[in-house]
Amino acid sequence: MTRKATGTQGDLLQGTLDLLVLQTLQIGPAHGYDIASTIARRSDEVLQVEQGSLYPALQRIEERGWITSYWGMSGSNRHARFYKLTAKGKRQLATEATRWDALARAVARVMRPV
Amino acid sequence: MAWKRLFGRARRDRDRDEELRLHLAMHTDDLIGRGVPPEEARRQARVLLGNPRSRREEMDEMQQLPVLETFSRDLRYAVRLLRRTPAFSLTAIAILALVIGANTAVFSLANTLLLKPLPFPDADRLALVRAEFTSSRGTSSGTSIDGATWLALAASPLGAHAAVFTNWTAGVNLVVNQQARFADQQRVGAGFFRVLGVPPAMGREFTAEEDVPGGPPVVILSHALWTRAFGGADSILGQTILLRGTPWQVIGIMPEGFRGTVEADVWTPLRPTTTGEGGGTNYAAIMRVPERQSLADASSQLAPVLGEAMRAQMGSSGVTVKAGLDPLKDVLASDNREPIVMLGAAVTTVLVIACVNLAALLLARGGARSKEIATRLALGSGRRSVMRQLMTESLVLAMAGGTAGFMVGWFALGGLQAISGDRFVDWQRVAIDADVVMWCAGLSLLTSLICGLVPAWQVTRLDVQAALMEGGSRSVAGSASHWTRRGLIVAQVALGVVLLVSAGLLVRTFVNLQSLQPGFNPRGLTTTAVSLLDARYPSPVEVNVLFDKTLERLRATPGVDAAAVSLGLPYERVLNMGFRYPGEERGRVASVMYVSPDFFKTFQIPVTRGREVRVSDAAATLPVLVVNEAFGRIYSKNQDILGRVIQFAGAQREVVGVVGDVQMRPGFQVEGMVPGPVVSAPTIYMPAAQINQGIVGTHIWFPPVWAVRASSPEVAARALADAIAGVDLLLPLGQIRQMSDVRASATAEHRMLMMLVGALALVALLLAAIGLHGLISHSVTERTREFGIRLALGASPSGLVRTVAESGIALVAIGVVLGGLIAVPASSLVASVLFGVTERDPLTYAGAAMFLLVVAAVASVLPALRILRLDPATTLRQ
Repeated sequence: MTRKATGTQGDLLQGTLDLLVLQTLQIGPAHGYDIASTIARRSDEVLQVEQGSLYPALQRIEERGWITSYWGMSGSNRHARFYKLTAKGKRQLATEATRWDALARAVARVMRPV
Repeated sequence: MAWKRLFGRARRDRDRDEELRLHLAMHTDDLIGRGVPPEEARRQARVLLGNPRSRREEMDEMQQLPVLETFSRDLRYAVRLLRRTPAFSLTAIAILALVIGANTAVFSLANTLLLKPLPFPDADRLALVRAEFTSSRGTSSGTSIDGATWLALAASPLGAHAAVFTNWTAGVNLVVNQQARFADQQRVGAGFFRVLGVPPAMGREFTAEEDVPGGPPVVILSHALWTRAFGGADSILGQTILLRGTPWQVIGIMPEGFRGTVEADVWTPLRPTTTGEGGGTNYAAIMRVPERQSLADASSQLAPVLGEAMRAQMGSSGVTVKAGLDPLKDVLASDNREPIVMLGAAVTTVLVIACVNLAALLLARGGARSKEIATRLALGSGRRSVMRQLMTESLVLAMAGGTAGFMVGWFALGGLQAISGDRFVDWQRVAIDADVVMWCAGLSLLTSLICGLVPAWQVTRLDVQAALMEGGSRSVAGSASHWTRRGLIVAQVALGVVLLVSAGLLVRTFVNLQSLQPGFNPRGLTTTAVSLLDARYPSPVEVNVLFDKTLERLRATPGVDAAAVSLGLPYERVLNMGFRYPGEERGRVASVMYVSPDFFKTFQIPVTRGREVRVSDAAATLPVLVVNEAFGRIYSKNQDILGRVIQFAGAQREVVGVVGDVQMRPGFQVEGMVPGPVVSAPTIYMPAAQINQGIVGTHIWFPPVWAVRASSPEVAARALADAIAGVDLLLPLGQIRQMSDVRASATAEHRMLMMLVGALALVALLLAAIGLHGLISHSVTERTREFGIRLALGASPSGLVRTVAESGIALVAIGVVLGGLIAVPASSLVASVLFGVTERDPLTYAGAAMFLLVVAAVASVLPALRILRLDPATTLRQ
């Protein structure tokens, strides 16, 4: 149900979500809610990451070894699980970012006025 | 990594729950911070998060090892189901165990004797010289060569890679510490062990200088004999041992477990010649083909050299010779190939029948479970996962059957070895090894695949709605599955016919062999062979002194009715020699035995005309012979054989008596002889007192046999032992055998094949009957309601029974016709062992068909009889 409600805002391509998560974590370690709100803020509230996608994505990325997680204290003095970029994750981010750039430019070229 | 994930799950589940809960809290706080009322904030946060349970499940799914987990679930389910129907499961496992066991046993024979490389380095390059002789009378071939052929080979460029040897052993007398022992002696030329690629573990092998006539007496011992007789002492090297009554110097010990071309205890130099022993084809030649050459190359290079030498030996007799090399492995396996291939074909057929049978059983079960399966499909289970479930069930069955089958195979191999007896000596050294275990496991897997596929495939065609609506009273896919089952029954019956026909042909062969008159009375006759390969028995004089003294003692023993000595025994291989009539050029061949006086009395062979060998037929009196009726029938058609003179064994000898035929295994075939495994061959009996040096020379192949007709086998055995030891303490006694056993072992191969193939055919028949019974009883259960209605409307019960049973019998009839067609080419496999019956014997085919139809009728009528007990009233109310 939630999925349907938020689906109208446009589902993110799976690979894209991974890229966004990695890019966000480049700023520094963050917990899940922080990651979601950061992506929303930086995209001027255009990209709303659905929690139902975020946590499975985090788990998937962690299994690939691109991020690690640990329990710590959040700013509001709450217990929270923090995610942190690994060296492997940084390399992955670089590759993904290049590929995204190329894709974005290609799409832009296609979309120029005809 | 994967395992850690499985085991750490509980802790991580808590982590995930906690993480989602905190997310919710943070989101709620955030919303409150933006001025949303707390109640509304909590609601919005929850809505956005969605169902926490499904989030959890989604993440759990990622944590799993899907294949492993679903498999273990399927496995648990399968085991539970199979335990719920123990009768079905046990039947299936028993069938599988039986056929997998039979296949395992036969495979272990084939693996050791036919498939495995020989235990020599680079054994593929080893070959034997082989010759094929073609004349107007047919083709014969063998690996025996004469001395001249060997010399020609040794002088050829490939000669350095070859060695001469005798491919048989002689039982010899070995004396250690004044105690006589029996040892198997093989004579091999210089370089024999080098060619095989196995040097002695200690010492050296024979040199070319030692391997010449008159060379030094040197001997190599087997590891087993060395440890048995000499306690494994190193000091034996260089010492002399007493072999055949003369001293021989030990120069080498072979490695432990070494086995050459035959089982042997001692090896002595062959000392090849071109006269005497070397004048006949009594040698064999082994060659290691050089690396740079292929076997075919070497063979064609040697063909002209060998061919020329062999032609010289044949003279101008119109026989063409083709010589070449045959792989050693093929030659050594040649005796075993035929029975093993035959048994292999039979057990494979039974395996296929069992698979078909099990597939039918599982299919019927699938029918009974159609409601369960339909329910699972309706609840959203994928067809693929239902198929997987069914395959898992057959896998569990096959694995259980395979494990039990392995044990059955273990015992079956022991059984095979026991009944093969001394006919297939090689079988005794076959053992279950890693190859066999692997093969057994693989076979079980394959069986589960074959058995499980058909029922699983049926599921894909299940109509869920229909199955549920019918309340499970109909089977899977209705009549479609019946057609599959009918096809399976026909296949089983057809294969059963093939086996039954082969078994029938073998039974007829055996009956024919058994009904052959032995020509003597084997009851109460006890024999033992004594090797005279001893320096103390070099000539006819010493040999006859031994015969006379021992026979004298035997006749004086209470309980002994008669005693005799002969060279060769009925039902055994005997000496064959050439003879001719004086004034004729042409030589002919006959089986030859020398006999002591009283031989015919002892064996109770009737003297039909003239007289038997008497004590008065001595070395100094006129040479005489007794021949059998076959001799007269075949070699003296136009003239009475009695009184004719024959040029034989260096003298002209007169035929003074004619005796009845006995069964023999002569190993030659001339016109007028009925071919077969045992035959009445033209035979010459000469008085032992009148043998010449040449006949004494044949003692290297055939030991003389003492025979006693006594009140009991025990009396006979003791009498033989006492009499021979009383004359010569150093003579080793051979195995004591009852003549009835000798007779039985002559047809042992046929009896064995008949028993095994017969047993397998019965198993096949039983399986087919079970399958048919199941089909009919299933269809009666299914149509109970219909029959009830028909009975209520006035149909006669017996008419219904007939209709149902007829459908089963019709299936079998189709199977019988199909099977009969397949049996025609299939029975050519047994054609070579048949005797007195052809492979297309109509009686056997008709018998097999009748037998199957009777069994089919019983298997169809029995379940159909249930219709008679139907009460239309109760049936309709149900």
